[in-house]
Amino acid sequence: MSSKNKVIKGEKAAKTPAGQSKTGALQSQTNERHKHGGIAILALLILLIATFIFSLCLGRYQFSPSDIIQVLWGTLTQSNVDPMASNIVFSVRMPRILMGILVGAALAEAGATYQAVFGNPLVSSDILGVSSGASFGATLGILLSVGTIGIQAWSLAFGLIALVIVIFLGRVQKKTQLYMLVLAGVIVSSLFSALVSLLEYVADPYDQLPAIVTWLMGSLTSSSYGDVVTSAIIILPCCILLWLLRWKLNLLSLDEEEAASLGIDVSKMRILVLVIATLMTAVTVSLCGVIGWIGLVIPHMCRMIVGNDHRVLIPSSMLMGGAYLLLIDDIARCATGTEIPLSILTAIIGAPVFMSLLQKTGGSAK
Amino acid sequence: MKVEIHNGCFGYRGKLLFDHLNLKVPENKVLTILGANGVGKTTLLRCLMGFLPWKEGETLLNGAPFHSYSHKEVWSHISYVPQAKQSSFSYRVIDTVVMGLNASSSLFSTPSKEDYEKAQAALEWLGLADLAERNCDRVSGGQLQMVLIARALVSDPEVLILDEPESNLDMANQLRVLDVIERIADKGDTTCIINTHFPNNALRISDDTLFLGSNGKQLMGPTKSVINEDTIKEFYHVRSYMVPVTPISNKLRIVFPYQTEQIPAEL
Repeated sequence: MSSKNKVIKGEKAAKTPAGQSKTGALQSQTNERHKHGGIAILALLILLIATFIFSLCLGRYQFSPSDIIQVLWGTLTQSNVDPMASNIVFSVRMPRILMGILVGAALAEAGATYQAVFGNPLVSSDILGVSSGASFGATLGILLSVGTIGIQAWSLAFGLIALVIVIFLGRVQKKTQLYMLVLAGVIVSSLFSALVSLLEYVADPYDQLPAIVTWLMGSLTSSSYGDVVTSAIIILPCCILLWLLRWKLNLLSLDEEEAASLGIDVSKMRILVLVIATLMTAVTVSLCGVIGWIGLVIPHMCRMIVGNDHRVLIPSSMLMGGAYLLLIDDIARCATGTEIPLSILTAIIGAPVFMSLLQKTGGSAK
Repeated sequence: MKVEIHNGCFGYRGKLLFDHLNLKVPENKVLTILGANGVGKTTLLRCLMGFLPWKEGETLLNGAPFHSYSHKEVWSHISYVPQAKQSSFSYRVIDTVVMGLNASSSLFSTPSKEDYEKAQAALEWLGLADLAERNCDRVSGGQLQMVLIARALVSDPEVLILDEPESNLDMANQLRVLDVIERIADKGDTTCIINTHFPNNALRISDDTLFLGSNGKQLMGPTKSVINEDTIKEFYHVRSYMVPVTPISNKLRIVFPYQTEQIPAEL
C-alpha cells in the first residue's frame, strides 16, 4: 500500500512542474489571440478590396489593376481620366460590383445571426425556408406589379411567415430541436417553391415569366445604381444594428435559460435579431433572387478562422461574404459567353461544404 | 438578499409537483434541496427563477414579489449556475466569464477592459487563471463547471443558485466545488440555493435543507437535524445509518446508505 502511495505521489510531483510550464505558454498566447481577431478582420478587408479591384478589371474589355486604380484615383481627385475606361468602370461594372458586395455581406451576416439565435451552425436563411418564403412574396409582388418597395415588402412579409412556421414546427416540448428545424425548413421551402411554380404557371409567358425565372435563379446582371441605393438604405442600417448587437449574439447563442439568467430578455432579443436578419434576406431576394448557400458556408468558414466570438465573427462574415459573392459573380459573368446563374455556382461550391459540415457534426449541434 | 417562495404550486399534466410550497432562505444562508430523481428539484429552481410560471403563489426577493423587479434588476442580484454541458458554440474561458457582467450593461455595449479584469480576478479567486485563454471545448467537465461558477460570481451576486453543481464530477472535482461553495458561504454576503443528489454534501455545506418528495410532499429544517435515518428512508426509500466521522470532526456525521426499500406502487 505504502509503496503504491509513493508512486502516485511521485507521479504527481513530476507532473506539477510540467503543468506550470504549460501555464506560461498559455499566458503568452493571451495577446496573440486578442490580435488574432484584428489581424483576421484586416486581412479580410484587404481581401475584399483586392477582389473589388480585380472584379473591376474583369470583363469583355480587360483592364490591369493599375488602370483601375488610376481611374478610381483620378475620379476621386477630379483629374482627367480616359472617358471610355471611366464609363466602363462606373456605368457598367461598378453598380453590379457594389451590389455583389452588399448582397454577399448581408447574406453572410444574416446567416451568422440565424446560427447564433438557433445556437447551431447548420442553419441559414435558405435552410430555414426564409429565402423560399421571401422569393414567393417577391414573385407575387412581380405578378401584381407593385413596384420595387412593394416587392420588398411582400418579400419580407412572406420571409417572416416562413420563419414563424419553421420556428413553430421546430419546437418540440418547448425546446427547439435541430433536426426538427431543418426538416421544417425543408417542408416550408418545398411548400413555397410549389407556390412559386404555381405563380409561374399563371404568369404571362411572354413578359412576366422570363423575368421571374431569370430573377429566381439569382443574378446581379440588372443591378443599377438605383438598386444599390434602395438595397443599401435597408441593408446598411441592418448590418450596423447587428454589428452593434455583436456581443449580445454571443449570449443569445447559449441555452435559452442560461441566456435569460445572464440578463438577456431572450424572446424580445430573438425576435429583434431574427426580424433584422430576415429583412436583410428579403431585400436581397427581392432584388437579385435566391442566392443560396452563402449564409451557411461563409459564417462557417469564418468560424474556422476566427472562432465563434461574434464580435469578430460578424465583421469577418460580412467582409468574407462580400468578397466571396464578388468572386462567384466574376465567374458567373466571365467564365463563359453567357451568364451562369449565381445560385448554380454557389450550390456547386456550397453543397459539398455543407455535406462535410453535416458529417463532422453528425447532424446535430453537440 | 432574502429569498422566499410563498404558497408555490406547480405541476405538469395534472400531476402536482409542488403543493403550496413555502420556503424561506434567510439572507446569506445556504439552502440545499434534496430529493429523489423526478421529484422536481430542477423544476423548483426554474419556477423560483421565473423560467416557469407558478400556477399559484409567488417568489419573493427581499419581501417584494419577483415580478415587481425588471428582468435586468433580478439578474443583477441573482446568478444561476446551470449544469455544465458543452454548447455548440464555445467561447474562450475568459469570454465566457465576462458574460456574467451582462446584466449591468447596456444594449449595444461590449465588455470593457475593467470587465475583463473583473473576470480575470474571478478566475484567479477560483484558481483557474491558467485556463483564461483556453476555449471552453478544451476544458474538462470539472473545469467547465468551475468556469460557470466563475461566470456567476463575477457580478458579485447577492443570490447564487446552483443546479446540481457536483453531479457528473469525479471525487476531486466534487470536493473542489464544495470547497468553493464553502468559501462563498464564509464570505457571508451571498445567499446560496443548491440542488444536490448527495445528502452528505448538504451536511457539509448548508445551513438549511428542503426535502422534496412525490405528490408535493416536503420537509424543511436545519440541515443537521433534518437529515437523519428517518427522512432518508421517507424521501429516498433507503435504509441508512448516520455515521460520525470522528477523524475529521466530532460534529460531522454522514449518511451511510446500505439497503433500498420497496418503492411504493404510486411511483
